Amino acid sequence: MNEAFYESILSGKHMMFWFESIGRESIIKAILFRPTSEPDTYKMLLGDLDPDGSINVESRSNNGDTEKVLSIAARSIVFFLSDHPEAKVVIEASTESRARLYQIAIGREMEDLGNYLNILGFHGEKPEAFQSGKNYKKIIVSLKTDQLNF
Amino acid sequence: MKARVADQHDTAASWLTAEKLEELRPIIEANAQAIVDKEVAAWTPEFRAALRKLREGGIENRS
Repeated sequence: MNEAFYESILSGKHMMFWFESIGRESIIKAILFRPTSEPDTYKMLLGDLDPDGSINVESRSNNGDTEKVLSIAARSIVFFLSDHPEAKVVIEASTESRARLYQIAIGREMEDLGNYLNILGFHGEKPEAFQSGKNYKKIIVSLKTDQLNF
Repeated sequence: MKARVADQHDTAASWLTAEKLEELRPIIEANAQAIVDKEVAAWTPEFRAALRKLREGGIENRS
């Protein structure tokens, strides 16, 4: 895995991760989990990190390593939830193409972690159990409460 | 091609240091929070109600 990502795993309370997207060019990516006005509810942001600290969440870098980036993003959710077991993580896709990418990445992680994660997809305002192959505008990921007692 | 990628890697890595990130962390977090606050302001009452129900254990995906 990306060396910078390893460093970020070891840093802090898993509220921020960073790594290098190495494809056609080298881009620093950041993943942040930020609190919202709703209790125990966090939003995940994924974007390009600039040297001045700004984050571009709208960028479409087409760097040729989308699968790796999404895999790291999915893993960061698991690391975050391990430190914040009560948290609900909201992922919002800004575009249809991003919704499709998130669907693919989360669907893949479900194969390994589906027993531990509660994943809901939203079509409009109605939640449903996440289904691979369906695009959702919003996704909420949390730990299944019955998996918290080991 | 390999050398070109290596050069670009070095360019990005040149500012990505733990010290620089710690220095930037408050700025990064503030920028991220501003984006989040704007997006959360657009959440509908129905979506907030679904979140509340989820917190209360009323929605659980058993798949």
